[in-house]
Amino acid sequence: MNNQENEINKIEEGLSLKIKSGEITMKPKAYFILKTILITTVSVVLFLFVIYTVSFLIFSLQTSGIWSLPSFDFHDIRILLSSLPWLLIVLSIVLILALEIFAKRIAFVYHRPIMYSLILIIIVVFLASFLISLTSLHSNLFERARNQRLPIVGQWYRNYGTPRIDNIHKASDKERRNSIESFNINKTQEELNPSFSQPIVQ
Amino acid sequence: MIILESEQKDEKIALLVQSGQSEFFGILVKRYEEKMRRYAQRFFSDNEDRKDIVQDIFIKAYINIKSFDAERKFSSWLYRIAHNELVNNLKKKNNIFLSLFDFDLDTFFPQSSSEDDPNEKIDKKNMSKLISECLDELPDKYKEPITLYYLEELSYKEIADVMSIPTSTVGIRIQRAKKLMKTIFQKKGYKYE
Repeated sequence: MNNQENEINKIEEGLSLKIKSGEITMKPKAYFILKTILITTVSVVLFLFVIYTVSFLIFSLQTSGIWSLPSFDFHDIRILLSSLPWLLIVLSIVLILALEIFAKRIAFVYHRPIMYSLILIIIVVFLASFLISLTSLHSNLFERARNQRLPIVGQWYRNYGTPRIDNIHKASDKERRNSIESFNINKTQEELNPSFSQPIVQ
Repeated sequence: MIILESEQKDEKIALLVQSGQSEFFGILVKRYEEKMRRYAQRFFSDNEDRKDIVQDIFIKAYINIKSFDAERKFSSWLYRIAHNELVNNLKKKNNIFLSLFDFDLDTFFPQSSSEDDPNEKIDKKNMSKLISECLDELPDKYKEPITLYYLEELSYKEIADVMSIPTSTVGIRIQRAKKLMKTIFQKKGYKYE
């Protein structure tokens, strides 16, 4: 027992000496505040980046035609697998896992099984990404990339935003207008508007 | 109004240290040194290693004391530092690289386990004796929760905070540790109920 008490005193004395001599000092409160701000900022940026990447993945699937594959047989699955933007898929998975690791710092998250927090993150990310894919954000960026007016991620848009399967892809506004115009040229006024030639019955 | 040092709560003393009265840190060292030594003893048999680790725990606690939230329990905060220190030292000693996720299926899926029962207090006293006898034979992932629960008397939630794992996982690991202990005692020819 005496030995133990001696050891306790030794540790206590050793620490007191180190504190008094300034060998060990407390980190200031500002350090922890800054650390919290930094972690929060990184988490928010990561969250936004995950949403951006997944929404870009959805956009890429839509423009490449994979999203519109009408049916599935063995041949389709083979085409599908070879046409999927794997790099984007892997990047999205890695980013979602990174987000989970960051979220695990919060007591509310680590008190629950990983499965719950992971499912919640996936649902929130996919919902937000799907909503973003409904806006014209990626289409506009894609147009800019095509016109060489988008630095850094321009190459990504040119790589992943172009048709992949037998030229099936989501039509751009310009393509849609061209297609309507060429359709209209081949139709007479009567074919386009049947009510035009019909007598008005009163 | 004179309050004896020994009567002051840990959290109040920590607040005094935070305000710059470093001399009060010694009281916290005195109060927890034995507990930290006992906690480290479950993972490190070498006396010198243990002494260094206990000292490092208190050094880290002092350096980071301003991150302690006095609304919370000081003991849980200190055990969290001790847990990190022990895990890092174990990984260093066994040459294990820090895994990014520390993945374990126990923490992945939801588990059903009962919360700590206050009626279990009688059981706790007997258990602490039994645990001391067979702790070395338990896998590391069961050693820690069972030590913290029966020997250090932390609640499931406090253990979950110390180890950063779900509360249900704490319960399931304690249950499994008890089952393993039963097998160990049966193998040794002891009676275990």
